[in-house]
Amino acid sequence: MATRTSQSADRIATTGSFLILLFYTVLALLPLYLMIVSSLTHLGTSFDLSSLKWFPRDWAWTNFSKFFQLMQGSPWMWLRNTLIIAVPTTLVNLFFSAMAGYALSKMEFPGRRFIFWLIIAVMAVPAFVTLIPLYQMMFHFGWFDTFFALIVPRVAGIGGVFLFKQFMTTLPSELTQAARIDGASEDAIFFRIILPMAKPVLAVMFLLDFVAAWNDYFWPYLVTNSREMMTLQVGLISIMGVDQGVTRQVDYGVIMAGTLVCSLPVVILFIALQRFFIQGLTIGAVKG
Amino acid sequence: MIYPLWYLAGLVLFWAVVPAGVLIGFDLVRTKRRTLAIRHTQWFWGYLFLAVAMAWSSLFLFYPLLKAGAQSLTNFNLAAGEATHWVGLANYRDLLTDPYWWQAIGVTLIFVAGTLPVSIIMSLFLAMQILKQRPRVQTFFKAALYLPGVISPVVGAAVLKWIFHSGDGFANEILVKLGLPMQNWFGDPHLAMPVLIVMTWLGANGVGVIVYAAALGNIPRTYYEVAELDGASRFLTFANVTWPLIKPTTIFVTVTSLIGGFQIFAPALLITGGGPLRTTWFVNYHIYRTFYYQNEFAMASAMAIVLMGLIVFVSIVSYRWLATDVEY
Repeated sequence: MATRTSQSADRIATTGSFLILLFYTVLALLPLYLMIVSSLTHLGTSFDLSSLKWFPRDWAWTNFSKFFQLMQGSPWMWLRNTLIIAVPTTLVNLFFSAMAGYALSKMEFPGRRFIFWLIIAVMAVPAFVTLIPLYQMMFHFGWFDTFFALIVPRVAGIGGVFLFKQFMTTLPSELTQAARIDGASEDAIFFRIILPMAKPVLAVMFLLDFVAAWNDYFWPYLVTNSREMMTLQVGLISIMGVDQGVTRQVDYGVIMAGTLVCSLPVVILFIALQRFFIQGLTIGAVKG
Repeated sequence: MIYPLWYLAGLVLFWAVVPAGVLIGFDLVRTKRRTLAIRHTQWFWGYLFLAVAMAWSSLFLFYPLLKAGAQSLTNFNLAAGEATHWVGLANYRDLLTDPYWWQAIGVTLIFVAGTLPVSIIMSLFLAMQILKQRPRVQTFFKAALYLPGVISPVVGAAVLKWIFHSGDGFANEILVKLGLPMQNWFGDPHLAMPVLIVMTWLGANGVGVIVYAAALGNIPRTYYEVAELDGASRFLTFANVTWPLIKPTTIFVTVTSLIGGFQIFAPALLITGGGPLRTTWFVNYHIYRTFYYQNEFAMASAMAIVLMGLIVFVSIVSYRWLATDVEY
């Protein structure tokens, strides 16, 4: 009898917390839902919210074609630019971060701890500290408003090294030592043993890096000024207007179609990789 | 256009060869040997594997960092047209008496104070609710709550602008339906910051929830059984078992949120333009206006370095305050 009441009390508690979670999740995702509904509604520049319903009724796919026709078809170019920038920076960065993380976790050499602490220290440096000199550098290099400025500074770095180092520290050292005793070279150990085992963390880092590259707006905003060099994010900014409060009159149906185009790739990628992601995100976070 | 790539190639070569070479050389002299030891191959490969990451960081991270520090001690300013020379700490001294700077600091502190405690409590609370669910349900909620985190700041700003439009925005439509007066939202000095803070509560807890859920799941069940046997109340169990054991996670979430919170920028640039009446004029926005509009590069660098100092200081204080040596 006692166990039965405690069981049903448990069930009530579980259902209650389920409802709380559901309520909060609905609230947190409501803006995204509104974005989808608005992108499929004829809104026009003078707002007529009576046309906006909880479900799209007029299925205004023309908002999407209108978005891609804005500024003489520039959004296609912005989409292409974003891909040209995001894909190589993500892949190259991933590769070199994994190499550096492996060296810092599984190799013995003097200066290893110093470099690791250097990496931790610069992780706390605010972006704006380096942004100002980097912005000046782009002019000195003649890279302003070119793909060089958009790709080269982002193509490798030490941002992702920390997570790889944390993950590879958890791999048994006997593995690499045994391979060394068997006469495997260091590059063979890395490519044949470590990389295949690091697949989950590679998936996490790919997602984090790609989302960061895709969503990055401020650096491209600073170093581009021609419409041909803009990325999707910068293009959206130029459509919305910037530094001018909330006054600009725009067709929010078309804007929301644009934001949806901008979000869909990363959302799909996230849903595809979310299982790895949730596991991988906790590396190095739970135990300080 | 091409020559900076040669710098990079040179730096890669430098990092691949020089540190390992110097270290091995010293070691050979120290041990008075003429042949390489096995460990020296490790040293060589270690620096070789680090070379590209370190070369890129040298040019695009360490050098700009040093340059920002050096520049902040000069009067470098594109607009003034005067010769650049060292001015010592004059920029920092000027900052102390700049009312706009202090206002920006105040606005940023309000944002951090308004978002940080709530997001910690909320992520912990939500993580505890998630752990009561079945595994598949857990995964669903973790993913759903993280989802807003992959949406770009630009998209987020566009959607917020649309929802909180001063005229016929969605939020006003709901107010009208409830028989309440319409609001000016981002145009109202009393509302702009609260709206930003509340929307941050909603959208930005994904990492916290996932990390807390993992930490809570790692606490051995036996601890709770013992607490129950001792007749500890739920509150006492939380205060004496759960909270101390998830301290490292709380530190992680606090410090990362602090670093992020102090650098809040997108809403000022994309939604409010720092207004109305500078109520959302965050530190980063002040820096941006100083270097992008006024072209006062030296002053802006000094501001960014003060911001860095502030972030490091607050992180260390909160770390000290929270740090305990609990192990499990």
